[in-house]
Amino acid sequence: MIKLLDLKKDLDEKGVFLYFNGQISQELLVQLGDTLKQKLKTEEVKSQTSMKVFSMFVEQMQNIIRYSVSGGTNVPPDLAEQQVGVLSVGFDGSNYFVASGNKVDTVEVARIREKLEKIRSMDKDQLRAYYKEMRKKEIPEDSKGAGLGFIEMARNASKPLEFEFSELSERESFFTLVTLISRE
Amino acid sequence: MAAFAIDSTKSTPRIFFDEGKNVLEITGESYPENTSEFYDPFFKWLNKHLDGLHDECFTVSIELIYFNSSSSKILMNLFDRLETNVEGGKNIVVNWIYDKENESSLEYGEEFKEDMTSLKFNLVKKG
Repeated sequence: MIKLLDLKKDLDEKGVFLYFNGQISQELLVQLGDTLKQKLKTEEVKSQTSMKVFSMFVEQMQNIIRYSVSGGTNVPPDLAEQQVGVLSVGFDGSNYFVASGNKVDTVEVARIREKLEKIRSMDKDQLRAYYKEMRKKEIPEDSKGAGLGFIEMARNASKPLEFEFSELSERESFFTLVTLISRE
Repeated sequence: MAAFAIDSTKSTPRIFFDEGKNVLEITGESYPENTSEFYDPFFKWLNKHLDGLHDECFTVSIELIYFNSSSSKILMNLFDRLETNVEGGKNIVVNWIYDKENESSLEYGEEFKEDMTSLKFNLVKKG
């Protein structure tokens, strides 16, 4: 039998108060986002902190919706699962955290890593300048977003973005992203 | 001028053009699933409206509680479009309305303002 109590205990221990694993849609994002806003209201955090947590949540949920890809070597592309991911929001005692995980194409790993390493190396002023520079750029026609998500997250985070790639197969890797927002 | 109105949803703003005052209002939150698709009809309307402007003042009033990073890009496109029209002799003013409780909203407004050279961009404290 599946040990849901163990899973719940583990999540509770780590301070996770919102957790989702499965297919994500915009509708679900809006619903869970409301739940998150309500929860933060009861915590009596500064509205700015609460807004930062909400922003991390939206950017990460939409990253999963836009970019999560999966499907083993035997699965035809149209049957491959899409928009599937894991998302958790919690409080570790001093910081709120928003963490997400989803499958990505292994060939994309180097490109994403490079992007994140570049952002991680920047201080707040550099991030601000980089954000403004990227916002001015034309978006390629086939792009699903503005390419500003990671920079926006880094600007809202109180610590550099943490990430990890775990290779699942030659084709698929699992991408984990963790962002921290200080409670202040 | 043609009327334009879209009601708000939880993830999209209300966009309303007041024909009598020549004021365009964008209020609420903006984090649609597909940002360019959502704003496309608005930009089509806006282009026509800008083309039809003469000496009269066109005011764009923006009060967004939250907008995601792709909406930020769309706002930049909007302000760039307005600035081009100002340089072409049109009379346009942007009012960026922020809540005094929400410091980020003021910062976002300042960052847009810095990127504008000829567009009049007012930061307006609410309340």
